Amino acid sequence: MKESLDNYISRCINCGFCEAVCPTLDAADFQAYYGARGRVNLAKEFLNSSLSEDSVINSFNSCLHCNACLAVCPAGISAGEISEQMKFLAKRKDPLAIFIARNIIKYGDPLNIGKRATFWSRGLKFNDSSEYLLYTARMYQLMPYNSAVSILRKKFGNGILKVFSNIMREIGFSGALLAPFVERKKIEEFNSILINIYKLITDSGVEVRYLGEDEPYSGAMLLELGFKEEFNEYANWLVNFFKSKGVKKIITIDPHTYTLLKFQIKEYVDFPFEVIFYLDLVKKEVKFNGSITIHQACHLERYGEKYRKYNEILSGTRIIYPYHFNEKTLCCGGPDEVLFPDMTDKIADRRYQELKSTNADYILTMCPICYVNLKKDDKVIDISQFISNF
Amino acid sequence: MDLIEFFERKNINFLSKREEMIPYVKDASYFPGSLPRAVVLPKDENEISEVLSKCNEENVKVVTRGGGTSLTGSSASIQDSIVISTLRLNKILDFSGGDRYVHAQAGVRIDDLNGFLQSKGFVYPPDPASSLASTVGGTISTNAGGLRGTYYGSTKEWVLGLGVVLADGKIIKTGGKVLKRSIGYDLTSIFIGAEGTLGIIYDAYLKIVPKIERFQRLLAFFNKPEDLGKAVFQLKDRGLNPLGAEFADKISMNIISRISGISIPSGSEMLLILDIPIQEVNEYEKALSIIKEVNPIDVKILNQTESELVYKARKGLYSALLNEREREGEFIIIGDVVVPSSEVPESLKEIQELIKRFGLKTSLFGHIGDGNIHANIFTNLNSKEEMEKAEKFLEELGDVALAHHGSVSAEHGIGYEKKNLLMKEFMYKNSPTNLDLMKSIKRIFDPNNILNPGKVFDL
Ligand SMILES: Cc1cc2nc3c(=O)[nH]c(=O)nc-3n(C[C@H](O)[C@H](O)[C@H](O)COP(=O)(O)OP(=O)(O)OC[C@H]3O[C@@H](n4cnc5c(N)ncnc54)[C@H](O)[C@@H]3O)c2cc1C
Ligand code: SF4
Ligand code: SF4
Repeated sequence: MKESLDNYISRCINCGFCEAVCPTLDAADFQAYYGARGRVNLAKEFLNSSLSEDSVINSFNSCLHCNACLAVCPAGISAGEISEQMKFLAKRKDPLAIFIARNIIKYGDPLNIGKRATFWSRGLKFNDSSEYLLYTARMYQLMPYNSAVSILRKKFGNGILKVFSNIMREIGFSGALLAPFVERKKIEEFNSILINIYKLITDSGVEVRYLGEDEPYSGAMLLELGFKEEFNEYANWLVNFFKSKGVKKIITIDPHTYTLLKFQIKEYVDFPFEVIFYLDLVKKEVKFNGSITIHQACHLERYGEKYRKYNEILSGTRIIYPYHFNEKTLCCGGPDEVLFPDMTDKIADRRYQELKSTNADYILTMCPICYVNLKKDDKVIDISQFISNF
Repeated sequence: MDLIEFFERKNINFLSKREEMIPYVKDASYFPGSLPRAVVLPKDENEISEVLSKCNEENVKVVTRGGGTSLTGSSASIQDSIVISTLRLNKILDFSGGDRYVHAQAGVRIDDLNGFLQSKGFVYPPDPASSLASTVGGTISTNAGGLRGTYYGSTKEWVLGLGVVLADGKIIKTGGKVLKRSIGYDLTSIFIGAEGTLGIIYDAYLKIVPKIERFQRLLAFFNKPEDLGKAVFQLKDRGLNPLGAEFADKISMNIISRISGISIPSGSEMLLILDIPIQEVNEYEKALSIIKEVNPIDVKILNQTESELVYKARKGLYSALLNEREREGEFIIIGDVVVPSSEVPESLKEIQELIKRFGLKTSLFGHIGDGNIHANIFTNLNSKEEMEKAEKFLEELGDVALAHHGSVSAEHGIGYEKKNLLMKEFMYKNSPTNLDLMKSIKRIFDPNNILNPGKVFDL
């Protein structure tokens, strides 16, 4: 953020437009503490020293950073940005958040899943001298393990999970510990999406390089969970890591990594690499006689640009848009999974119902987090699966 | 039993921690508001009724809050009061295109209502610029207007019936599904514009119409505000009925030009954006010839793309004005007056003179089709001197409206902001009894003065 937080907030006119589109407000049964305007008001009071950190932090921690608020604010303010800055200021962090942050810093992976992140690539051909790096950032691979954490949470409750994460962050953690709770089917499902993405790129005539087990996570969650200094360090490390590998062009395959590397990271480090979203490279026109609806990712719509390249690929298909689409697209609730899982469930359910009510034959997602949260029936598929199949 | 215990025992959703209540203190005006005792989020009218009857018994003040977008302080919270948020009352209950009504709960936001209706080919016409956030209950309670007000009128034309909880907790239903009804006093209308001082609306039957799809948008540029006023009056006087007629002064016109990319001919001081419905083919040609009689600098007939760009620019005008704020603590106070169309030419001229005399950076725009002029005054809220000056300006703006047979408040209501101006309007009409009647009505509906006291007038 270029200007001071005080200054930024002072532009707010309290019109409440942001509150009207903020998904966490509805999910919290309309308590304004969990709405965008509430967040702006509370940040103001906190900065005036009239409220303690403990009393306000849940308001900011529950923000999805979906930027729906920014898209409607007449004063050009993002309550999501304010929440991020407030999380940076917070001195006390949640044990689960600390656990994840430590894993990222220590292992380059929020859940330290190690070489499990590479299984999808077995038998595929990569070209180490290609100028294009296929950078999965381990996102799709992490999803089955995230789901396992959710299952554990539901089984044992949040309290136990926090105690467990306190212990684990001291003695070290390996994703292998989660393995008994991970569904094999889910691993295969995500690996097959990764293979689809790989094929879409290579079938379009682009050879790619892949770093295998060396490939680190992007660090996005450090920002989302409020670890600014740590992200700063991590970002510097990441840049040097890419430089040491002679990387020039980075193909990202999920919206969070894409916008992090294309826009957000530049506030922290000089990022001298070209960043591409994989759909840019796909040369295929889909032919499908039925109808689809698309769940556009917040990060593609409201972070720095409106990314709609997929429209060209889908131009021969009938798209039935849901009520919230384009820059008004509704978040899947995913970013609240770590600290406010009940909110995630409610938001995901609302969005799924909205998409379903279009009665389209398929519901397309374009982000692994959205996919996990909205995958409530077989109609929901990743855009790469749809493009591959038709 | 204290109130908090009462809510707990009755299992009513409430908030009472300071951090939970702070977001309910202010509305979109510059009035600071005060911390309430608790905020209640009722799920239905029965819970509202329980809360109100308890508050009435214990003499506790109650502030109703919908979208909290009021520009006059009308939904700002009062010290030690109970704030009732209507946002959980967010269901559309019933709809009939054939009967031309939609039945919605009070907390439904106007854009959500119209999103639903649009899928059925209908529209609920009142369209305040705050429609994204403002609610059915809030817009009824301020009698909101909007961009299409010149064609459709303001909210009061569209309310068929209401469900209301009175101050003592009694639940009443007025009007209903039918488009007309002649049964003595019109109890529905008493709650329209009442700003939460007479009862709490929990649902409403609202009139709807099929959406008008086809219209032609024109831009006309004028050198003198009087000419713009004359053009609008002539259009209406000669039988045309614009779907929308918006105006912008030089500051606002420049912004619209910047956003839409449409150039401004030199010498232009005022812009008119006109939407003429295409029901009969020659309607917009007639509009064109009438405007040309009034010496415009230029008239542009917009194609589809330009038309959309201009609409976007007009919708984003307020937001762009906000970005023109240069000083810390600067806020835009919006003056909101209305005059008959025939008085627009003179009024606009006088208001521009007023702006010059006061020397406050001010931009004019508004729904000129129904004579509604908004004066956007850039004011530093931290400067006592500037605030006093702005208040004086608003008072004189009201004087101009009254001198031209208009009103001191077109669509934003009274709240805290215009209590003096309301009295002024009645005095100007030589009809101070109006205020006595209002006070008598208030005493009948709310004998203990618990509902939004200190707003609209002091008892
Ligand atoms: C950017 C911006 C643009 C605006 N543009 C316009 C415009 O074009 N036209 C216009 O007319 N106004 C406009 N307004 C003003 C404002 O939006 C309207 O006054 C609107 O009607 C308020 O609706 P709300 O739901 O936010 O009500 P609130 O602000 O919550 O409440 C307004 C009043 O109604 C009362 N109230 C709310 N709900 C109920 C209920 N259920 N029962 C009884 N009383 C209730 C409150 O106590 C209060 O007195 C604008 C405001 C902003 C911030
Ligand atoms: S939309 Fe913008 S100006 Fe309005 S309340 Fe939210 S942050 Fe403030
Ligand atoms: S970023 Fe999303 S969740 Fe956060 S305040 Fe804005 S709209 Fe709400």
